[in-house]
Amino acid sequence: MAEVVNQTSRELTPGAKKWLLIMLITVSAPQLMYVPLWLAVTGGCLLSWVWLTLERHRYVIPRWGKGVVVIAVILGVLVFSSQSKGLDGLSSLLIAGALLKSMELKKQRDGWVLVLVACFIAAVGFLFNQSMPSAVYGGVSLLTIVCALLMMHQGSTQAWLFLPVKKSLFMLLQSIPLMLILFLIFPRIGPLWSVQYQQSTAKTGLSDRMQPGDISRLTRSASVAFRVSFTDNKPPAPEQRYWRVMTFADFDGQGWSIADVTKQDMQGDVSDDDLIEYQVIAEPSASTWLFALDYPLASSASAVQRYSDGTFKARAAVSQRISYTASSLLIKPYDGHPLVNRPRYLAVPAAGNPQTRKMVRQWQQKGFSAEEKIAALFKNFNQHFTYTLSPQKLQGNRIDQFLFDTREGFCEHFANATAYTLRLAGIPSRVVGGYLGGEWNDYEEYLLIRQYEAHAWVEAWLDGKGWIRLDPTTAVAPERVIQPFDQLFSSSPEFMADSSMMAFRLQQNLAWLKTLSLRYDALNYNWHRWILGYHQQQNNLLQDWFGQISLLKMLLLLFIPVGCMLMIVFWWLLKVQSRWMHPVDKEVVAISDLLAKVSVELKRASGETVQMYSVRLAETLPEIRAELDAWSGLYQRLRYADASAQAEDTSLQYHRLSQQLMSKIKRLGKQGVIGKGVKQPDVEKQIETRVW
Amino acid sequence: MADRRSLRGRIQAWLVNRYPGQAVIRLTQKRIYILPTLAGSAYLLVVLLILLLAVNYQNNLAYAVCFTLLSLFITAILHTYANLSGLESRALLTEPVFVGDEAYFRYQLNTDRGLFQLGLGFDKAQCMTLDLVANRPANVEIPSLCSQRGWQQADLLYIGSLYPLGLFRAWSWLRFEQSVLVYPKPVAGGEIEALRGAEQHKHAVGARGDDEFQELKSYYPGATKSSIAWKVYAKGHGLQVKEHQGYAGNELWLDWDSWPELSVEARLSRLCYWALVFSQSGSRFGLRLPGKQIAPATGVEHKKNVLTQLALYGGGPEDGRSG
Repeated sequence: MAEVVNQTSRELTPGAKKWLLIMLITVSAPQLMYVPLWLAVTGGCLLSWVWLTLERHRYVIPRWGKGVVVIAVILGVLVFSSQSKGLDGLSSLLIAGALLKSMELKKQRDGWVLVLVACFIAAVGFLFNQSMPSAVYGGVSLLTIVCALLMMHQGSTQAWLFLPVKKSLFMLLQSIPLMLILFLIFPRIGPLWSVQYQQSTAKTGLSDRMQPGDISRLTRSASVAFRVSFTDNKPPAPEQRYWRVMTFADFDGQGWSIADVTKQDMQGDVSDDDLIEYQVIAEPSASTWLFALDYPLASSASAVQRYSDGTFKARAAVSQRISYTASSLLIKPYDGHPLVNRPRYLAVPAAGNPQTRKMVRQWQQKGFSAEEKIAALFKNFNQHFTYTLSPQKLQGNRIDQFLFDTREGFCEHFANATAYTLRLAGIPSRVVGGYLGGEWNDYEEYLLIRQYEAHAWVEAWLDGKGWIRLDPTTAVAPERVIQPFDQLFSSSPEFMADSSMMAFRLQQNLAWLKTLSLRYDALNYNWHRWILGYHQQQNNLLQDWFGQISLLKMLLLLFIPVGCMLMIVFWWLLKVQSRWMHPVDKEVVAISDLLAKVSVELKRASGETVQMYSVRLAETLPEIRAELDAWSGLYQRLRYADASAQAEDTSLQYHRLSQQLMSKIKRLGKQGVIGKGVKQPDVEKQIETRVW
Repeated sequence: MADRRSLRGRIQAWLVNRYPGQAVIRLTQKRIYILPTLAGSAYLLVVLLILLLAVNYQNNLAYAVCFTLLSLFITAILHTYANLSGLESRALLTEPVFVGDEAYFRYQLNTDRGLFQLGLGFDKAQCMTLDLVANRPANVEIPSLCSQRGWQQADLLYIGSLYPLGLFRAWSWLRFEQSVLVYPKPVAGGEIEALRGAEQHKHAVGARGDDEFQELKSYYPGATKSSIAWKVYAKGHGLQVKEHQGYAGNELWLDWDSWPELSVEARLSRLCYWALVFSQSGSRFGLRLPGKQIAPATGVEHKKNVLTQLALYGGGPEDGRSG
């Protein structure tokens, strides 16, 4: 039972070594895609080898072999981390270090090094992936870390697989309240120094230049562009869900490019009943474009800048999910300012598209007003054009070809042709890129906008009215505006070509699957909003809950619940466990409880030894005297004799006899034998003779 | 180094003053000390690093990892403390030993909860580790080297545990009212006058055979095997013990004044040696010390008596030169 050991240089038990390896594998597995392949393979081989040497004591790695591996891995990792920027290098370095250390697992100190490195790797892992599943996995990683630590400090005789898991789980659960409160109230300060975040986010979403075909390419993707929740929890009507991202003012005959726009102050002083306030959570896009409901007025976020064309841009490329609040008006009254830089919004290449020019000339000859010209164009679209995701390819005079030949296209084709034609007709115009639509999630009350809902429309300047939104798509396909996009195009082969169509079709057909996916997205939304973006919510949340934030309040919030929780844990540790029974005692309690049902006096008194109890029982129940004597004798042997004397069959015999006794007592109880002439236990005497 | 030792000495002295010696000690919050281990401090450092990571990357999940580890640290305090709290230790009797031997101080440990990986020892670094099952008392023996004769008080007993996570060490120093009697170290040498005299006497009288002129006494506990008259026993007359007539007339005395040239401790060592020799052979012998005399006798009790007198001579050990 006891072993003399030198506590400062304790050897690791095989169980502890196994758990350290399990911990290492669990913690580093999610990072395998960020470390070089050779390191992952080497690591796998090394760990399986170390495990083998633990299982059977052969196959020990020779000293020179270890040397070669160490040198090779160190060189490789140094080369890799000098080439890679940011975190990939760090994580490879950590994992390589831990792997090499795993070959030299002897003393407790070695185990500690591994455990501490594993803690750090677990945290670094969240810089790569912050999804909900990865958070759950992170919890599992922490559990293995605690298990390994526990195994390092417990005796070799105890079970190594499940017992430590249970104990570690308890310890982690007991730690969670404190952790939650710390998470809630720990002040989130900005970065202490600038760090280079990994820029691996691929550019997604709209691009800075719009050519026909660009937006229809986006319809191949079902990935989320952004989510919006509204202050009054009511989304605008489907036909008003125009999400403005960017405006294109310059046309070079091929495509449209971004206007040089100037920064502008937020229009924050507007107080209007029609003002819509909302919060946007934008997915990382690696560009600075942000999303706002048309027409955006102001955003409170410091990272957001408003521009003169009414768009929002982030001050730095969006490489992480960001959230910002903004306010918009659905109908913007003309503020009376004249158009700045009018020629720019009329500029078109000098030549090309003769048929279109001819058409515009005809309008002018007829003396059409601006509104009439627009109406004529839209009527033409409505009567002769088709809205399709896969139009024929255009060449040469593309707008002529589109307007007079193919007569089919996607929103970008219509926007392109409309803006060009209006400019020819002397109406200042620009193309607006953004999104149209969004799926309302009822569970968490937010609007989900996917990439395939990308849209392009036109704004025209009408004197006395200002910029007016013109969406030629509504003329050709009014259903695009009202109907969800996925229903409209689900049969088109281009639609969502990059996403799993099978899964999507299934979702469309099975209502419950659709519900499930909505629920999951709602969960995800909350996850992003409340956990990953907590540093943006903290102030508001704490003020909502506790009013004005003060240091005293925060300290009280920390210490009162944590104190209570720690007291409970402490009580549990000292009290509940004291109810722990010797396995042999369980039967005694069972028999006593059984008898107590018949007569309270037959319950075992506190401080009454089993021997005295059985003697007392035998006096009232002479029918089972023999069994009781044998039973208490076995009990004495099992409970108080040396471990060596406790043979397996003694304990088996004891349990069998206990069962017999209980069934006999039940039978006697039914016959009504028990309960007459019960003798009270003589407590005085028992305390004196109690066996210590 | 010297400073550290003196500090340690002072702490020990303080502990000795703080806790009176007791026979049974129950560990409560008054006695349990708890501090992070070196590894625990390293763990805190890593937690701090993770916090820096979280702050700099504004990563809330890294914050969560950091706070989970920190909370675990706090929870570990309770668990480590609970693993020592309520432990009841009882000092048991300790067998006397000779100087230079290890005395085994015996303790009985009991608890009403299972306790794990308790380390016990007089030296913190060299501990014995054991797991305790609830309500099943365990006896442990802890060796301690004895270098001085006389009553030796047990050192402060270190009892501590790193369980469950090794982040903290909970420990206590127990002072028991417990001591061990240390006999002088037996050192062979010298001759006993009486023994030589007896030899001469035997040669002078000559005629009598040894066996015939022995007095037989009935067996008493403690008589050595060699002194039992096996032949008599074989004849069916019961267990008889041979009393050596030859010595009886000329009683053996272990005399303090036999070796005036030796120092006090050397004399005691030699007397001890001879006392053991005589006890081994079952001889009757007495002890004469300045101011003290033990009448000749035999048996285990007598031996113990003699050795105790030797151990406690002069109220404790003295400097060898002054004798």
